[in-house]
Amino acid sequence: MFRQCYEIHHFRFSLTSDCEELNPGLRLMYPAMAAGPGICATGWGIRPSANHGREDRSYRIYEDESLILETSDMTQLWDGLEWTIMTRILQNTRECIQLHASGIDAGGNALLLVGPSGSGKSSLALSLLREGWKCLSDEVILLNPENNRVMPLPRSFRIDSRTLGLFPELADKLSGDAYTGGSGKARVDPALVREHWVAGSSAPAWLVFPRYRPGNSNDLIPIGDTDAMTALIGQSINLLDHGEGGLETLLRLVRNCRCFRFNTGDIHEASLAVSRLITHQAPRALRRNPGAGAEMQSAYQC
Amino acid sequence: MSDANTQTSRREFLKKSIRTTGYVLPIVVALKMSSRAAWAEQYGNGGSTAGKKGQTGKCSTFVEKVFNPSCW
Repeated sequence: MFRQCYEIHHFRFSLTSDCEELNPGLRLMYPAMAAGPGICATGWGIRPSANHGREDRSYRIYEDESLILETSDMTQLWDGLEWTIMTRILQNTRECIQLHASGIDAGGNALLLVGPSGSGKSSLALSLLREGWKCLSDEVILLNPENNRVMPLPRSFRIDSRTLGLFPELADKLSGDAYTGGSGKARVDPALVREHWVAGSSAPAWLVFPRYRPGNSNDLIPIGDTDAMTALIGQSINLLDHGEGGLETLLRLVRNCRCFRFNTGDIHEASLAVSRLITHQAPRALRRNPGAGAEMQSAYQC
Repeated sequence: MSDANTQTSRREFLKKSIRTTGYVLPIVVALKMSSRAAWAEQYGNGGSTAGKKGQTGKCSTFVEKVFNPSCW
């Protein structure tokens, strides 16, 4: 029997399973959101179906006791479970502006890596974790419009084989259970790279829009507010739900941040370049206050 | 789907956006925003689309492409 409660920004949900063979995969999904027992808003349960046997293993997924999927296809089972949980998490954090981005915390200030799939966000975030920084998320950043701070959404990373090849030390640590679902991506608990990896709420200070192409040289190019806005809107998930206020929030984000386009072809070199950026380029707001900048520099030491 | 995603309110939203930000944002931004409109339909349907390639079966929305493993 597997039963675990999770919590992300006041949304509590539970995962239960009567199927022991699924437990390792379930444990890998959201270990950093694990919470103590209590009342949950939503619960997903996996149970063997009536004809579950040695020859024919099929499963039923229930959401709040309603059957949502019955399958003997393990790919469909894992992909379906992940998709339905993620949509609920997004639904329950919709008061925030959700950005398709990863994020790194640097002494209370956040560096956001914003870009489409394949741009190098997750790889760079993993590499920066290895450099000693803490992380907000590999894929979704929650921007609170009320205080302009970003909040973590610390699910396990999904890493493809090309990216895993860049982190050979991880390959030995991954079990076969990491490859659940049909995407070919492994589910990687970032705790394998850095034990206490989850950052707290942070004030965004840098916006970096990576473009990873093998062979590219590392070029960190400052960009203007309009270019940054354009790129941000392109990766916003629920901007329309926030109406005009959403755009104002994004504009505040851009104006509070130093913004860069980042062409890169080497993830490890890229993470060093980003670390240098965080260490040497004070957040925009601090430029007017050198004393605070010096204080921030010491806070960056990891 | 919320009002913000209807054609009329989207146009209004864009007009107000330009007034709010002071930018005449590139037209590509407007087009990208319009293409996001369908995302809202996905939110309420996580359960009913579990294990499927999204609501349309085409992995056509932003949310599906990013978060539905069967669309990767």
